[in-house]
Amino acid sequence: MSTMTKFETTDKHRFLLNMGPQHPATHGVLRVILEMDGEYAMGIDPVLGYGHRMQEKMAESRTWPGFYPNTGRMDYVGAMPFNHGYVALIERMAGIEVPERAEYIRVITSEMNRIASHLLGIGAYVLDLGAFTPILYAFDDREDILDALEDITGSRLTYCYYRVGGVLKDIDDTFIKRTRAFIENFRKRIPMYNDLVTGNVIFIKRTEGVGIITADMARRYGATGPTLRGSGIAYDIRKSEPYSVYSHFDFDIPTGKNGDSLDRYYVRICELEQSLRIIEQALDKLPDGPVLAKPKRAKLQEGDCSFSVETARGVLTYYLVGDGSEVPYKLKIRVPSYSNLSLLEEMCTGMLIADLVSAMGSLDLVIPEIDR
Amino acid sequence: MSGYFRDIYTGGKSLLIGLGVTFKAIIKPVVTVQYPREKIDVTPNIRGHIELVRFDENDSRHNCLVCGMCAKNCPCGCLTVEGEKREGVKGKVLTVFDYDFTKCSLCGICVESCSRTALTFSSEYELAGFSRQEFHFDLIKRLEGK
Amino acid sequence: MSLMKNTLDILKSGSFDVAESDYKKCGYHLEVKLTESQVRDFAQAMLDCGFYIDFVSAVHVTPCFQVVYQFAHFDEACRINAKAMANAQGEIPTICDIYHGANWHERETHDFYGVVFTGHADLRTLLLSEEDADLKPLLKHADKLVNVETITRKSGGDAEMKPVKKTKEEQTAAE
Repeated sequence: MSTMTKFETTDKHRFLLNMGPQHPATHGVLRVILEMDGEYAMGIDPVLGYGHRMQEKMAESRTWPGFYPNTGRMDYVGAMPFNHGYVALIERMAGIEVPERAEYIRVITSEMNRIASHLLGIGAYVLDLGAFTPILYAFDDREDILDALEDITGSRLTYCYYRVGGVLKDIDDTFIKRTRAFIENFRKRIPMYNDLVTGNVIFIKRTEGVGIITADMARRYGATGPTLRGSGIAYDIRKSEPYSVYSHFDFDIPTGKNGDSLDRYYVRICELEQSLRIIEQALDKLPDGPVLAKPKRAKLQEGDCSFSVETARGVLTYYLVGDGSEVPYKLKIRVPSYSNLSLLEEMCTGMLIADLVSAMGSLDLVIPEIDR
Repeated sequence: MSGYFRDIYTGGKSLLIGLGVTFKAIIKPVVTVQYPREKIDVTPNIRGHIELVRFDENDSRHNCLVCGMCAKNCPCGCLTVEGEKREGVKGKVLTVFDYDFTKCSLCGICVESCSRTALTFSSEYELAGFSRQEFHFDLIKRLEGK
Repeated sequence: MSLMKNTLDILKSGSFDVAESDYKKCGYHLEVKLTESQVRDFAQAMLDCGFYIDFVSAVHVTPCFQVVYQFAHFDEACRINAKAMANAQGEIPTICDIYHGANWHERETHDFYGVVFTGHADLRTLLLSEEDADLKPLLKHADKLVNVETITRKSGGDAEMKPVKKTKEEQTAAE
């Protein structure tokens, strides 16, 4: 093992175990060095950067419209909110007004993307715990969403659908009909997930009381998203700093009680229903009008600007510093999984390795987002 | 002892409920497709690689003015557009339109920035090849070959 | 709003240079300017007020690095942006023992800029590989490096972005 590790163990009962970078439970190229005492992980040291692309340098070396396609590549599972944050950041900096219809379309597509991301997250998590079937059901439902989004955005994963000042293309009646049909169908399917996974005794035994995150811990580490809400704190950027038109909709923030893996999983299941509610209301209220304001190609003003959105995994903050040219002087991308993963060490030290897999999976990590 | 039997009861119940879901899926219609032999309908709106637009159905000429906005705005630098002045022809004539698909991020900024709608997305999605060179498209040739 | 008022009062009584800012334009409610020695006190004050850490990063400017801290609150909308200048050697005290989440952000900032967080126990590379420890990819070239004044938001007007193309009046004036 390389000198990367911080463990210098002399205790002959302890040994180092290398989990990843190609371990199925690390969901990508994450490597975790574990200092094991028998079956117990006594030291945990995540090693990041296997998928590092230096997105922040790329942002500094091209004009701001040129960086836009990169944003969706960071979190390929839920690319829409990442796109949303970036265009909204530029709109805030430039003072561009977005037509209301475009904002509604953004909310609809973002929420659909959130459902798709949660479905994949839930499916992959249960797969980590050894249940193969649920991910196939999740993919079946996710396919409906991707097909609907593909029809209007033209892409299935990295959408690049939003534009500064609106969206690329208006949605049509086919999409609206399709989405309504999906909502109706999916409402019936959610109880099936509860039958299949949530009520399963083995699943509960693997997750209940495992990987407890307290509110204080979440605050010190900056954990957000379902990871935080599982600990009973109803914090959601969509409610607390409502961007776009989220303030027009009525939805709840589901929270857990104990902050264990089961709660984090169940918060995601409950969020599916909330996202459906938002989409339904948005479709009902969808105003008429243009979807793209007149594009304005402009220099970035001097000074800094920050924009936070709620992605499927937590708070994403873009922090842009402009120097008066078209090229960003600095763009910091604060990704949710990065902070969520950083509490792994405190959360999991002293755990059985099987529980560690369960706790880590419940964070719903997307590694390219962490590595950027 | 009663806890032991309760565990068996709840465990058995959750097992049966789970198996019930699986059993229902057996009698439902199949949702998967045997891909290379069967294909599903792909929406025509798909944003594949870009292509030059034909002037009209019978005319294989294109609309390009060689303004170079697509190449200039491309964040990945995957377009090479060159033109030359020819006698008797107003404006420039397009001579080179190379497109490096290996670098393209399919963002569509080129299509948007084209003032003459000379570019469009193709709806081709099954692209695979054995070498990189296969993805360096000469769009003029592709247009003539159609 | 009471939380923001309280925080403002607490920070003012702690003799921090704090000002309200326009959320609609810059995306945060309070702006704090720190000196190098105030950083740890400020972080402790933030933790006592119940804020969570959003990120730590830096901007490479002259004379030295500007280190940026952002905090937000779980209960109410209150986002705080704090900036501190590192000293001439590029050093600034760490806050990773107060906010444990700052650990990785500081390691990342050290990777990209070479800012040394004094007191940080473990400044190994995080996102970059070990061989690239001296690469410091986000350091600006000398011709692109600007003074900290250039990237500071001008108070008052001038908030609108300037169009790329010069207007006719500007062109004639230039000629």
